[in-house]
Amino acid sequence: MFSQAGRPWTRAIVRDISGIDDPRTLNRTPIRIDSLPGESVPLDRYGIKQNDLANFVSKTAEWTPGRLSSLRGMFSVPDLESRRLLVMKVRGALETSGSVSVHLTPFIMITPDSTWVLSAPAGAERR
Amino acid sequence: MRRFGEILNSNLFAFDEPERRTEVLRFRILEIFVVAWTIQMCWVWGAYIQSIGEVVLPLGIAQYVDVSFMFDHGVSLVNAALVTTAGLLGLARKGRWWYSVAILLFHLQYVSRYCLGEISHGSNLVGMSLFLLAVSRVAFRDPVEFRRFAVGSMYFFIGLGYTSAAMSKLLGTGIRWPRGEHLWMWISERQTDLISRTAEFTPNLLQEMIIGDASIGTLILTFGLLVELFGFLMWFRKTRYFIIPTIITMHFGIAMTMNIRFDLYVMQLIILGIPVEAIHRRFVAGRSSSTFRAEPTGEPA
Repeated sequence: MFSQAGRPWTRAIVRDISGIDDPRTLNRTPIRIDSLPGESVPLDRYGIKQNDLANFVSKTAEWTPGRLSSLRGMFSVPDLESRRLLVMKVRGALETSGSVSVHLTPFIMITPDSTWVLSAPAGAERR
Repeated sequence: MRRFGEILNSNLFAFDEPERRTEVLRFRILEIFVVAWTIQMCWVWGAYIQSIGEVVLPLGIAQYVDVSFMFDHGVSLVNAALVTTAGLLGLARKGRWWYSVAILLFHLQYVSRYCLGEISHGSNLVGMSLFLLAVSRVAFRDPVEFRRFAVGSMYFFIGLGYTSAAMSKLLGTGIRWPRGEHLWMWISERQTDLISRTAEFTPNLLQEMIIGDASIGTLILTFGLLVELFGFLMWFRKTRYFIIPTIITMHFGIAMTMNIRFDLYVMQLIILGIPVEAIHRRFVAGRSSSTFRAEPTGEPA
């Protein structure tokens, strides 16, 4: 993390989008920070290890059914199992101007009965 | 080179010098600290490992052995019990190989816990210290030599660790590593993590100053880099009790700027960094004899 300074980083946040009528309208189009869907899900409250989630999301190259199942298992908490959750990738980069830009991209959808990776705006591959 | 080796030997181990009671006290506290935290981490990890479903990033022995067997049927909890038993038997001096058993099983627990992508740093110092206890216990029958080598090697490898960390930063990024903009990147990354964990983040005064002026960040990172670079000074008695408190200060700075805490590092550095001999000489010397040489026995005292 610290030996190579200035490199882009990727982390993850989770949003509760149970209130959104049709989650299939979401795709991997970057979203502005002031336009985030749903409500924030503070992971500490549910005993979910934030570092594990962030690394799991950023370091997984291929989202196999097993990998999606493992991710879903992280959210096997009574208070969350009935909700519709959106895992978002957050990417930070150092611009040439010297400022830090942060981009948020919807990435994985977790509903009570399925888990899938959002694809590019054309569609979604359901698992 | 030979002369340097002799200097290192006399500063780190000094096998020919009589052992002080304060050295024994420091060693005991250190040993109990390492074993206690080893046991604590193994149980905490053991419970969490049962909820892991798949290996994402294999570390250590997990690169060669499929550790998914640890995820079910309470295996990780059994392993925690085995580490506890081995650690306590080692502490009780019931055999010379128990710390070796403990470190092997501790490594298995560690790679099983951290197979999801995160590479934990906070437990590394305890793990390394347990390894050095294991090596010392096997290599030295004499109790004084065992204690001296264990503590001396901790000073050596901890100092080497900090200096090599600084070298890694310079090799990985170059002389521009301490740029304040780099600290902006880390602060924003940690800000994202905290928002993810708690849904809120309020920068403290120091972070606000850094965000407002990159040169402050440059100054802070330069200080940290230099402190790490001179970590090897803990190899030498004359500089040991200066550089260790400075490193502790650096860790407080890391906690304040990036919200990254190295609690176990700090605790162990405090144990290693208190000049107990000097304190004893100043406040207790004269009341009783403060030096003795433990008689070699079949088992360390």
